[in-house]
Amino acid sequence: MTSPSCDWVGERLTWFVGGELGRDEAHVVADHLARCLPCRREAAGLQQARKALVALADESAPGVDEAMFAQLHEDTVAAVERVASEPRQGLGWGGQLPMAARVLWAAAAGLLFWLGWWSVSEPTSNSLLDRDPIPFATGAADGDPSGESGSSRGDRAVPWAGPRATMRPLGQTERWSNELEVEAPAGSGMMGRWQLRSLERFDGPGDPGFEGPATGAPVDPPESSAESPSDPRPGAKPESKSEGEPEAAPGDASGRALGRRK
Amino acid sequence: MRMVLSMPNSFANSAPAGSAGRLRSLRDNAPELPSGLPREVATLAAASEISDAELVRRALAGQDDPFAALVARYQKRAFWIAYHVLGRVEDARDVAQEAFVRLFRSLDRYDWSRSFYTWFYRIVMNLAIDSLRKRKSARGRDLEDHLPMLVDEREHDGPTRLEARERDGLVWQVLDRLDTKFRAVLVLRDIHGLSCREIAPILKVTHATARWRLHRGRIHFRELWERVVERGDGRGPAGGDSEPEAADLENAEEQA
Repeated sequence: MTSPSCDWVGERLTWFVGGELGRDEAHVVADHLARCLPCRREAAGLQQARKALVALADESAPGVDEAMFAQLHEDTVAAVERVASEPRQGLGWGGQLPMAARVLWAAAAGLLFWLGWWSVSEPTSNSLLDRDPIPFATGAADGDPSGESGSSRGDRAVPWAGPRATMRPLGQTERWSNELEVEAPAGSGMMGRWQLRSLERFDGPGDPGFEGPATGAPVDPPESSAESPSDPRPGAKPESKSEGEPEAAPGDASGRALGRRK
Repeated sequence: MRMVLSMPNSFANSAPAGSAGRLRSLRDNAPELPSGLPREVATLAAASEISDAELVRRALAGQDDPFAALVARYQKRAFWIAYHVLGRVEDARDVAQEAFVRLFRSLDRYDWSRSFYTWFYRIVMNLAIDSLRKRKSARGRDLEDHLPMLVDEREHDGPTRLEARERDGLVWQVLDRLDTKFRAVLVLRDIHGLSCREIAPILKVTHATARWRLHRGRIHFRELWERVVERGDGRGPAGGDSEPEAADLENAEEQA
């Protein structure tokens, strides 16, 4: 075998000083150490430190003797006997009280869950799921009135994602000049978050002719896209529905969103 | 079997020979039993033909003596492992005792396909590491506790024992600065002589992880050791045959 590099030896020195290296490799390392002073210094340092550590095995601790171990055995057996004499859980008074406590905890947890669920209004016939995202053109800022240049899912405000929710591309920290902010209806909190997650599949309109949501959503649509002075796109208003565009089936939010952009 | 710990001056005999004695006592299948055991317990604990698993089976059957025999077999090992992780006698006692209580409570969950000591050592190590994490600066007080003893030992035992004490004090300082995961594997491997294959299930890591921690732990220990020794008494690690090596290195450096 050719002479190993210092790196190769260095990776094996901890095993060498611990006597854990295979016989062949140990010979190679020993040969290298006989010729290489830096590696020999490294090995000597490791060996000294390890010897000091190993010597700790022989350290006597103050107060540790046979009497202490005899006492420890006695104490340990007594502690185990105490544990063994304790009534098992679920039997007797000692066991019933923890069981009652567990029932109370479960009831309290159930009540809290119900209160939390009740406080979040569920979408009904006027479901948030039926609404379309409000489009707006980020490309407008770049002089592209169609908004094509920025047609990604980040271009769409999400009215149901909670108050003042917007979506931006990852890494986008600054507000866009024409960023749309909308107010989500009260009570859409948890559901809105769920819907926001469902939009992960939504990646904006691929159709240049896309001009807005198909349905006049019964909820008040955000007006800010129209109010935005930097949004010259004429069809950016949510009310501007394309003629002949099929109505999506209610309750199929993702289908609608995907169908919009087809 | 030779019990190094019980001999008052045994550790003064210094490094590798003495440590090998302790390592043997910790790894042997026939551990040293504490004195003063009831006769039945002592007989059970000393009976090498009765395995640990058999003692567990008998304890599960409701007998008291088999579990007391398990305590007798393993309490010294549990104590010393906990001591080398924690560095305090009282804490190590508590951990050893609590480990047996936990063992008793979980006896019916014993995995018969695995060795008993691996399972038990895991309980001990978990308790010791938890305790160590709760108070990381364990050794400071103990080092102070050692100081009065150093003066006494200087008078009675001469400089060899004193140097060993000082060296051990420095080692404790280094161990205290070492990350817990490295400390655990160093204690189990270099002090208690377990292999990485034995250490891995005790620490609930893979074999490769145990080896990596040992490798890195030794490197970290060496770095800290040199720092502490240089800053400490400046005389380097006491005793052992490492001094000639260091002298040889110095000579070689000069020649180079």
